[in-house]
Amino acid sequence: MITLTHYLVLGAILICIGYLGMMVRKSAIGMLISLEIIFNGINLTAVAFNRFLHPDGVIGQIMVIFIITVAAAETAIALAIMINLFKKFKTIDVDEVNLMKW
Amino acid sequence: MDFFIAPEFLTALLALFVLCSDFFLKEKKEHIVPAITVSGAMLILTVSFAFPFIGESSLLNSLFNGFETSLGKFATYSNDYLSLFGSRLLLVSLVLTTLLSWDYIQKRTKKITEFYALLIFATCGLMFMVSAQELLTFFVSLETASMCLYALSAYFTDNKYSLEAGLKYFLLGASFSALMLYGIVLVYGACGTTNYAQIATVISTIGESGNTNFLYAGVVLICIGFAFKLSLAPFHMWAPDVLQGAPTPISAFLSVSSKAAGFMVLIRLTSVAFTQMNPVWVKFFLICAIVSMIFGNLIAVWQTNMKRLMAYSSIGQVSYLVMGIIATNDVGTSALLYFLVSYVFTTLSIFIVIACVSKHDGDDMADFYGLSKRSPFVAMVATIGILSLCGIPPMSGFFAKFYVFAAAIKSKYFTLVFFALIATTVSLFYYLNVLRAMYIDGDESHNTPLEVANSSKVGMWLCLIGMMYFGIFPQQLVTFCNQVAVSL
Repeated sequence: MITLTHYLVLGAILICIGYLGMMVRKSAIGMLISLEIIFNGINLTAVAFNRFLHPDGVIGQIMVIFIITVAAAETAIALAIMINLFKKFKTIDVDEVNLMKW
Repeated sequence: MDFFIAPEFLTALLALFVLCSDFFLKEKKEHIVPAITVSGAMLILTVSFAFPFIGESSLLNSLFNGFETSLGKFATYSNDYLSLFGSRLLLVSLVLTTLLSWDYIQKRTKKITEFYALLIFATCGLMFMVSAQELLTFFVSLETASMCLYALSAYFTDNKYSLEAGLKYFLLGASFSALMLYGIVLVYGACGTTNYAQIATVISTIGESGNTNFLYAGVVLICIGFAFKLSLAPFHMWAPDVLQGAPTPISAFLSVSSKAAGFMVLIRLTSVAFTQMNPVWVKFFLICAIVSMIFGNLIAVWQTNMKRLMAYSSIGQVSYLVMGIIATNDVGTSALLYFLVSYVFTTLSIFIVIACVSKHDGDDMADFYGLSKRSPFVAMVATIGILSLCGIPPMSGFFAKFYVFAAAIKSKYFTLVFFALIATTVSLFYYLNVLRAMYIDGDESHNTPLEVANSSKVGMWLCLIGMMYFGIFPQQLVTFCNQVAVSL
């Protein structure tokens, strides 16, 4: 029997994997993919809460639709920034895009 | 008809209008588009003063009140005193930012229309964020504004610094938004609703059931998200880099409008939704405030880039602002609102000066040498702005700090006020350093008279009037702030 806890733990694991990816990845594209994993973990949590704890409403499901939209829009903007970045820096390695510090 | 006088909708219409104007304008775009933006924003401001719109409109009710929980239907969005205050403040800041951009953008890029359209869309998102009555609407409007600002930070695509600022802002901003979103989902899981008033009802009856863990975790995550957006230390690392690299108008917008809106939402959350959770968030913001007082003001001492210095200075200012939240009383809220008005005029006055003075590719403090000779008027504006930031009467900055400190003392946070006073003293050092730079003579290259565009002059005058008027005659504004604080 799969309970709420299973879904929440899976969601939390996905979110942790995503943040780990944000930290260790050097490629900006890799970080973007990690971000998508985080959003998916959050989506899973929201749907699980809706199904198990609050089945009388649909807020959790509406949330997921909005989150997917927001994530897609963010990806579009990030890719636009990265294309321009690549034209100028000839790399999307975030360690090398470091003109400003302290 | 009430639908049409809600300032948020008028602003959205203005943004669309500006965006479409690109198709019809053939020449002189660089003057017509900002002129439309300024006059449109002024018009909306006038409408908001002439017909203040309070309450829920019938059309909006049918459109936006679809959400239903076991506690009943709720509004996702409504106009109350706080959102009236917020939309006016954000419109003023939009007008000033546009005046600041007018000359600056025209000299540096050909892409004019999109810049202003994105700026208005960002303002619109922030206004919706202040009016939102539930967490999901709040999050979506926050993202609307953030996404415009990611694009605007990287707007100068041939400038490496701007691109780097855009990338850093996006990566950090998106990951902290995700953290805040997780917090929102956890609060939803614990309460079964996202409406602020309903959350408060649920929290007061939740007792000691297992769901409180989700609630605590959710509130902490939402607080971390806010600390990031308001650039409170230890979540401030993005601010200096982004504010230095981004175009100056966007640095100004990021450190003024987006912070002002963030604070207004924070007021709503802490005084409506999470009132009962105050042990959690008071402790969190107390630590953040003290750390940012120390960090912001100490690191600013070593800065030589003006925009970076302003970033650290705004970390310091935000730590005083957040004292109004920590105080958890009506006096604190009212003081915070007054401080926000003062902060908008003061900070923008200095950013307008930076935009006028800086050379094409940097904003080094060396550009300020001999400014008092090159343009006495600009030097005077910068001096008054900096004295207001220091908190010297009769500028509004003094009364702002005074009210906030008084509110904190009223709630018996003596240690916090003690730290704040020390931080204010340290901050005098680097603020006066900027003054020193303006009044010492530079070499030959610094002695040519400075040409200041008319738009920037108007902007400077407006900031001056704002700073002096609200400093000398604060009564009217304080009454309005009290009204807003009590209405929550």
